[in-house]
Amino acid sequence: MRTLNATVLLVIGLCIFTLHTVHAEARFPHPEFDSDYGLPTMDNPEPSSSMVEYFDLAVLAVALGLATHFIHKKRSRKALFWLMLFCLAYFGFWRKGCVCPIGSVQNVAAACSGADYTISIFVLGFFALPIISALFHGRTFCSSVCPLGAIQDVFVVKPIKLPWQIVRTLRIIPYIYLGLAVLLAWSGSAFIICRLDPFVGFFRLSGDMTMLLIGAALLLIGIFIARPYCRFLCPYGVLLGWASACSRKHLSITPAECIQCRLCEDACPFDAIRKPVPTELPEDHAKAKRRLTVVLALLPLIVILSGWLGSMLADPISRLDSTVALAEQVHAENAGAARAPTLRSEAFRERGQSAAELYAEAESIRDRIKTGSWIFGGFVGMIIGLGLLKYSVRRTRNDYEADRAECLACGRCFAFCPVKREEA
Amino acid sequence: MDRKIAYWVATAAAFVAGAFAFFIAINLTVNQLRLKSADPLNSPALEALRGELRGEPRNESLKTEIRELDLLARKAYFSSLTFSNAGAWLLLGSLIITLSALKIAAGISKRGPRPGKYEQKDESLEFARQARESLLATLAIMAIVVLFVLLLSEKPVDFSSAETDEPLGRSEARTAELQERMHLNWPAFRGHNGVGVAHYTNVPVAWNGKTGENVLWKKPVPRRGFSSPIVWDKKLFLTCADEEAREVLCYDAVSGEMLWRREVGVVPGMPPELPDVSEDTTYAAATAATDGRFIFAIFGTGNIVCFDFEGEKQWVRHLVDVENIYGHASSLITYRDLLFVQFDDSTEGRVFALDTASGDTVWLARRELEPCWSSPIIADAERGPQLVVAGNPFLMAYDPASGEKLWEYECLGGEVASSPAFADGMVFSANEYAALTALKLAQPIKLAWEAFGELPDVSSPLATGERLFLATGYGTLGCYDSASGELLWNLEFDEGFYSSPILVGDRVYLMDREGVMHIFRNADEYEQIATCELGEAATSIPAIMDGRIYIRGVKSLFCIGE
Repeated sequence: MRTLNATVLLVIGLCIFTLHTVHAEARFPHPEFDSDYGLPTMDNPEPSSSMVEYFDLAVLAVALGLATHFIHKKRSRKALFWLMLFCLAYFGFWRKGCVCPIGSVQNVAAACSGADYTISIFVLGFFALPIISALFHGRTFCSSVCPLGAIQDVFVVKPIKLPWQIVRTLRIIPYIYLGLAVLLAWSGSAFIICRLDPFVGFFRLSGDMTMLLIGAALLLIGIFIARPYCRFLCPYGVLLGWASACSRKHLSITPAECIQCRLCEDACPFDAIRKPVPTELPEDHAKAKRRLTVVLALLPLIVILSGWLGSMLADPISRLDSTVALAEQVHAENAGAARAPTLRSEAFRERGQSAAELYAEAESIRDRIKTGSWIFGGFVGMIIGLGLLKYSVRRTRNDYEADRAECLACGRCFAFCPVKREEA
Repeated sequence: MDRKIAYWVATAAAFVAGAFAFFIAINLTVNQLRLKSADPLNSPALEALRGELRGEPRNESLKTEIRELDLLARKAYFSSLTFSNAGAWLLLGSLIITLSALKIAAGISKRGPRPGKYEQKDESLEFARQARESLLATLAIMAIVVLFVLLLSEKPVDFSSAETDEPLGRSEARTAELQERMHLNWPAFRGHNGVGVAHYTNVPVAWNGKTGENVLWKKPVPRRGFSSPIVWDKKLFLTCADEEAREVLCYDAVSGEMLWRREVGVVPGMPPELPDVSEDTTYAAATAATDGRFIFAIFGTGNIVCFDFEGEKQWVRHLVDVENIYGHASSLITYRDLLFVQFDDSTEGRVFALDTASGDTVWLARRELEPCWSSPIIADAERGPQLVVAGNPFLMAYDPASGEKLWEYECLGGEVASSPAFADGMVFSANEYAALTALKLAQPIKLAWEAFGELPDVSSPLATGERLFLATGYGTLGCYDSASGELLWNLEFDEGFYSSPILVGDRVYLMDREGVMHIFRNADEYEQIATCELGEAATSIPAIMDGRIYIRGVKSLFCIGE
């Protein structure tokens, strides 16, 4: 196995080499001599036909339907795997990873901001279909349709189990990421999910070197910590998790009654299988009640504290807005701070807009982000508080079950269950 | 197939595919590095041929050779790109095989679950406790992260106070301080205020560029230009240019070491083709200027650029498209926070006042005048400073702060290249085919006297208070009484003068076109003190600093000192 591990690492090393190569940009100046050759004029390509977009939507719907079928009816990991490879090829490499439902969260947030932003029915479809699917059948999108999940899934070779405390802590990150992404999209500042997509560079065989390296690092980590982006970063996964938690029908490890053989205990590379919890109360009822009271009392305090922490970040967050960043640059240049002009500040001066107008615009964005930062912080605090509440209330469980919110419905656990469908 | 054999087959396949991928990756990386480091269109061979072509611009066979080499370089470059693309796909394929084989091997070697003896136990309480602790720890981590972000991030800018900010940290005191130091330096064409009077008088009266006598250092100037050096403290700035590039150079004034050189580069708005300039103008005819904080330079392309003293570009503008038969030659001058640019070309006459901090136009005076190659000066008049600008046919003055035209006087004509002179409340202008005019800066402007003798074509007059010196391109040097206009003396030299006389104490320094400096007394009679050879032709204005004279020859930059 050591040899195998070494080879795995070598493969990833090669991936990074590949990144270096694919990052090459083919730019070359025009010939310098006048000749009869007429250089083609630069123009913007025509937008792709809306038929293509509706076709994509149809493919998404069919893929979600197939995934549901493979999870709930066929219970086939193999079928899910092939579907996953198709979706990786189609949504990833063929359609270049865009539009994806993960990024569509921002389009929806921007459309809800009241600003002059219109969301297309196609993007709305991409946002809503996986959530609707999750409401009925769990995270079918994550199982095999998401290209970001798929590219990580093929790298899952030797998954290990992380300590529970670390997992619990890391699982807050997607909520923070979601809150920040919604805040920035709502304020019209930036679509950071797209900007920080670690895998889109692979799909396009080109991209920012830093993001490519981060993507490569995530794939490397993914050999041992399965699908790290899906579990500890994906903001859309938060929404899918919520929908899946209330889903009408969710993936079941066993097709019939659980015989509690424990064979599936370590089957899930994502640590989403929950053990049975006996009904007997092992702790004092009064103590449990007291703890619950304390948590309930703490909840508003945590929300307010977290909201305040969020508000403290308003200024650094606002710098992610290009207008605020430009205004600060122009102000610094005008105030004599030794900052060299940037292309943007030079373009601004060429445009002839007054600095006062720019500052006013930046100030308005800052105010918006300031308000949003309170909400963002409060949202994260609320998640932490509700988490405390969740783990302060004892719930019983009779069988080994997939965690509805966190199960990615990959179907790996099916093979571990000795109970056959005929027996059901 | 036996599981063991299958495992080894899969592992071997992974190794073979991995080794192949590794081989491809190495090749791709090497190719990539080569592509990145290669600059095929600027290869030494191509550069050498281009250099030859500059010397023989009509050599068709040379052009053909360059074209063939250019095509070859392009072919090689695009072949490498094709290799890269093909290699990337091969690498992707081999990685897929490697990964698949590894997954198969991992699947074969995977051991089934061994749950051990079943024990009914409740871990949920411990599990929940850990979860609660983790969540509280997360809250604490968040607080620490916020603290770090706040510590590391810059203080937010208060935009509400921005309107009262003066650009570039100018305070009245700082601006006044720099203005005070102007006269201690050589900040523009013909020094402080552009009037050709040096603050320091302790400069040599003897040197020889050929023998090296009193030449402290001599440095080649990388490109052509007739602009003059300017100096602030220990830094000397110079511009040079050709068809390839327009550059600002910064030298250590003490050692002559080049500290930095910066190209202006492509400026938004500039036309794709360079404007034509004549051989005796070049793209770097105008002298740069400094306000003690920044260096400003203008070129024959119509581009104006600002660098700080460390060579960081602050701003750049394409000011106008140049329409000038010889090329732009008017030099820059600063006053407090404003930079003045005279741009009288075939389309119209313009004087710009630019904000030194941003390059924004503070005011623009449009003038219906003929093209002009003269440079503006600052006349420190009794009623306040005036920006005096020569033109054809008017000599004009503006309020530097507002751009308001203070007065104009019709006294010039022909191709005006001579700049005005100023001393003791009197402004002088002269140009070949026009007149030598002395104006008293009264309210209204008053003609003091006029003369019509030997008049300058390029060189500018020097006013010393009592006298006025005039040198011409055909070799005459005249001295007038400033008050009466009486011609005190007039001499004829073998060589003409494009440079202008400079007052250094009671001496006048005037360099002829062969680089011979004529040093004579500021007196009613011609009294020669010395003549010093530079060793190469020169038309620029020397920069006079503490114990040193900086002179640009046609090829080299000299520092003269003892």
